[in-house]
Amino acid sequence: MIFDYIFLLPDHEMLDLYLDEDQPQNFIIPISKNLCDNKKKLFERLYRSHHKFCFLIESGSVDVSPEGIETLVNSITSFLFLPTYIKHNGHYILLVEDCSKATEFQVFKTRLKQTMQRQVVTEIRIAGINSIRLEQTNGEIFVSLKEFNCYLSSSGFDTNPDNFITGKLQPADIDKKWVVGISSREDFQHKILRIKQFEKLFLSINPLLTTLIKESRSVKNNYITTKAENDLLRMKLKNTIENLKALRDTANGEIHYLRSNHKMVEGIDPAHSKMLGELREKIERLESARNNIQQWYDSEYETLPLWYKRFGHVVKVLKGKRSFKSLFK
Amino acid sequence: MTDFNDSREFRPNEPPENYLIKFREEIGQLTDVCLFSSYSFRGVVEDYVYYYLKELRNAGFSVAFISTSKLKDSCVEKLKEFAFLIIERENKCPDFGSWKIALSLLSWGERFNSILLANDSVFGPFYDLGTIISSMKKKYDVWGMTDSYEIDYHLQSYFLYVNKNVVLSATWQSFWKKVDLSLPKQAVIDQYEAGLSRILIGANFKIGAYVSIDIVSKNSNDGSKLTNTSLRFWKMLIEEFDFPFFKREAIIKKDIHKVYWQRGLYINVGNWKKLISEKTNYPVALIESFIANYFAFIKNERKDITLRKRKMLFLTHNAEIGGAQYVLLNFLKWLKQNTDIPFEIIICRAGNQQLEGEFCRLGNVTHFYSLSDHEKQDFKNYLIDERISVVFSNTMINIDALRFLSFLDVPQIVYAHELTYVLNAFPQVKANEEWLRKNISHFVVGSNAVRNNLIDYLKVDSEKVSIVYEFVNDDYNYSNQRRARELRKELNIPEAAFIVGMCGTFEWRKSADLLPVIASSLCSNNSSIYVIWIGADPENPLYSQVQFDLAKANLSDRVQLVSKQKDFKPYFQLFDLFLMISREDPFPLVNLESGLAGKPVLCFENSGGTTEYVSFGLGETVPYLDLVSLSEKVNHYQAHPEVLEGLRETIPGIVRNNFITKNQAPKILEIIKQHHDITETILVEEPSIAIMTHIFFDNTWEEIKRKIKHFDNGTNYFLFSISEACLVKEDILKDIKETFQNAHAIITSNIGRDIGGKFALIDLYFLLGIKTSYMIFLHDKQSLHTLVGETWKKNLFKILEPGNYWNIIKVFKDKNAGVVGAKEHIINEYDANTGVFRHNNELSKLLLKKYNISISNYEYISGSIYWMKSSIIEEFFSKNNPLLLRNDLESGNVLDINGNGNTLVHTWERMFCWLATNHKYTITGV
Repeated sequence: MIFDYIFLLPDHEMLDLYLDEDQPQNFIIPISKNLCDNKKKLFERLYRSHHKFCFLIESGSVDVSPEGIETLVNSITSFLFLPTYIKHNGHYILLVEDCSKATEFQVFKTRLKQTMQRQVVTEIRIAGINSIRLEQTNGEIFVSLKEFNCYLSSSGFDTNPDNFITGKLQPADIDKKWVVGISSREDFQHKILRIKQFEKLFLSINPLLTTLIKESRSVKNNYITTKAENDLLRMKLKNTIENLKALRDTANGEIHYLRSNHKMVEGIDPAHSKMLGELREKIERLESARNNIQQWYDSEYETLPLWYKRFGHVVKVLKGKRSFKSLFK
Repeated sequence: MTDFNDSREFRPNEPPENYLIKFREEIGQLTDVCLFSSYSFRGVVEDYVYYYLKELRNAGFSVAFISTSKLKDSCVEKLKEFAFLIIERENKCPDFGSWKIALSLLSWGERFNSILLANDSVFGPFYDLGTIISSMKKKYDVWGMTDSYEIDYHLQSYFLYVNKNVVLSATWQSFWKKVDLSLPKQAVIDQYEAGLSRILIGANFKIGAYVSIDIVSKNSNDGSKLTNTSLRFWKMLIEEFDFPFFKREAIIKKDIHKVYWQRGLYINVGNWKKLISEKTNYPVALIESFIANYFAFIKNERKDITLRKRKMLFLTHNAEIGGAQYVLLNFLKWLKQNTDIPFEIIICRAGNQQLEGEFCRLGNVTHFYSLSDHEKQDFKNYLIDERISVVFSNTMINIDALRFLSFLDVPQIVYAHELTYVLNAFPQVKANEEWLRKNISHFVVGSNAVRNNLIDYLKVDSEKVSIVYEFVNDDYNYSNQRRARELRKELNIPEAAFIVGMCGTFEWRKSADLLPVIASSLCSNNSSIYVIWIGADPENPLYSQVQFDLAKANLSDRVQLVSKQKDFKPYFQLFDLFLMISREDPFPLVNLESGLAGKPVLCFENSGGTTEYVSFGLGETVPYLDLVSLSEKVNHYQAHPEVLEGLRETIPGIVRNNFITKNQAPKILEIIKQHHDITETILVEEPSIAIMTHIFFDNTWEEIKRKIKHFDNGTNYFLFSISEACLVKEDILKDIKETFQNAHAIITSNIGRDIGGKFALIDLYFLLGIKTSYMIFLHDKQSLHTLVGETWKKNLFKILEPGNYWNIIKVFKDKNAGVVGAKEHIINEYDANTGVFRHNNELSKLLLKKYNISISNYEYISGSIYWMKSSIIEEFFSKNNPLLLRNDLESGNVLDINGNGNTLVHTWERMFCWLATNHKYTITGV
């Protein structure tokens, strides 16, 4: 796929209608109070599915009091641990139906976020969405493109995608998830078909741009993965250093003990001096390993920003912030 | 011993609750009467009992039926057809109590010619009882079907015949009048079964058995005389003595197989179905129906009892990339996909084991070669409880393991691949020739060449040998040329080149030494021929010698040496022709791959199975080691591309018809079925367990997987929490889905180390609505901060060893046992004098107070790896949301070292055990 689509389901009751789709897709699943009633079934179904998903908390479906939010979070958290739950830059994504009372909505979002963060530690991104008026959605992660949705809903080419592509599509939208509302299985199938047609057309009109978008997404994903792995490696390196330090302290204690009893050791049991030698060797090996890890880390990690910086220039060109020619200057 | 001086006598007019006459038919003079004692666990007389009653009637007996259970009216009606007297009585003093009541109602039998005491504890009779009775009654006054020296010499009372002399004797009446109806079952056996024989011998009656223990145990020096004959020798009795009965307890009593195990005697009750149905005309469906009814009944009371098929045991010499290993792997994949037969795998010898992961996905894998003597004993204990039906070895060289497994007393089948050269290389085969001939039930061979050699070399009876040509999976799309094009490019071979393929490990048998000569002969005068050898081993000295020759012959760029690899199939797309130049090879799988790719094979005559392969129209032979003819053939094919084109069309179809898994695997199963009826089921105790595993490290998965795979019986649950910090989490997730049944895996944030993982897993356990008897908490412990981490892990992981499984279940039989873990890790940090915990003092006290835990024993299992009764976890966490508790845990690398001992993570490590102690459960070490 050239673009990143995500289908907004009508509800979470009839999931099978959509999850049976062969091609892996992304779904926004609206949840409501009765999630708890069939939590097991929903969990099992999502676990067995190869599709990715994130939740949408529907307006008016939840108790916005602190206790209500706590209950809601307790219901949701287990699902966040599912391998197929969608993350954005390492953050779990949770959509909340944006209601008109802006202040109340902000309070709810803040409370929800705080409660969620307590449970899963990793940052959570809570994005607002209005599923009734999808065309108003244009957040950092999700976008709903009115022209595009009109095109998907139609059956012919009455809406000229060419116009949409050249005239309406903003560079900033390219990397976002395009929300596509669906109302039924037939609607879903129809829109998948229309998306395929759209992508084919897009490719025929903009072959170079298509390649660049795909490359851009691929590189960006690689970057995100590499950065996440790098963070993990850094954390593991820190753990290793702590472990080595603890190990060295223990070993030093042992050595100190043995040294302080050296005469007795020599006089009584040659096996102890052998043990001392083994401990010394072990410490040397561990110290050497630690140094090697540190060196490797220094060399590998420090190269990343430079590499990404270079790629950043390409992204800027794609976003129209820099000219293509300037790349060769 | 029985005290027969007891003066109490039975009075037929005892209170009516002691017995109830449901039916009594007044008939004329009775001559031969059978007093039939029965217990119907569900109030319904089983069909096998009616069969027995019918046979008794046919043998001339009038039957008095005494039941120690309340019978349904419909049963009583049906019983009237077979019995003149039907009595119901309370379930006390089984058999002897029932017989006593019937005898008392029948004037102690003094009007009868003979009395047969029988019960429903046996299936049968398999033969006409009349014949047996008329021959036995001539010899003895009292006789039974079997006798035994267990307790004391006695006739076993499930079938006891006494003649008129006995019935009229004072001894007889005196014995019965003193039978105490209040005695429990074991006391009845100890006192009355042995006691009756003793007093009848004492009264000088002639006493004997249809099959005497002295005869059946004459070749046993293992204390078999002191066992229950009808059980210990059930198989021999039916096989060799035309014995008419099979003990019911053999198939319903769950520990019957190890009743004499402490004496080293294992009773394998497997294969009864095949034996009885082949040897007799008895309708075994009656036994099966009883098992099904019994299981349906017992399942309500004992959730941990299941009815399953017996397990098969498959042996592979190693799990390296090789033909015999692939054939077994293909067969097991097919077996798993097409049947519900449980099986396990044993790897007999050390090796690179590249295929172990694939074996592990199919079943539990045990490394036989790495077991110490002590572990081998544990492994035996484990295997007898697994109820093995058949042992199947993928080669003959697994002789040590085969001999080890002979204690199982099950059919052993060997898929033999070895020809003379290999057999000579493994002298243990020849040395065990006699043992193999005697103990291997059947040999499957991969080709005629192997068959003939087996018969000549080991003098194996030809009837015991069946040919099943070796086979491959037809799972590679040879028509997709993309990978082939890439390979050609990688190998720098021109488009127009004629490519000759060869394959094999670098050894003399595979003729790798001939490669330079053949290459020279093919390439020197023909610039378009290129040669590829797959399977070259750079470690082998021959490799450098071959390279040396190729360099000297200036052929290095024309001959490609490709090392052994799993992804070898695309190379066959490149070949135009395949040369199988082994000096001896049973039936190489690479021929088959070549065939699926549509390429003909050239081989030497008399070189083993390949000559048979080409005889299917799949290639040609040349005289043995005739390299000139070989070159000429290659040149001929190169000169006639239309011939190759034609073969490309026909060869794959022939291979698919004859040598692929879906055609060949059923043939192997058919051979197994000749030795074991795979539909036979068995009642086994399999408590349901949730294995709750947290994974953090990147290099621990394979070990964890192997350690817990044996729990994968289809009923246990596997819940995994993989830390998001694990770099290979995606691979592990995929492997979990492919390896385990009933598995769920979640990716959890790096909080609270394994304790955080446990909380998330407990939440998952509740979410999925799982209900089990036990939980096993496990994580990939490394303890990198200590010098003894490896020892800790080894100790803690003991609870996962198959050999410890039943030991642990046995510990839990004690209703007070709550937690079982490594004994070395049970520690107590509480100082009763100071009232202080050595570590985590403040938090421990805080949590104990918060959760109202009041205990005096603060032992816990450090390392957090143990078995626990699920009810303990269910009870506490149903009231305390595990995810909320998880909130407060510390994140990151929380170390438990001196001076850093006050963390929630480590306090909860202790709390889990204290939750158990709070409910008066004990913590037990193994």
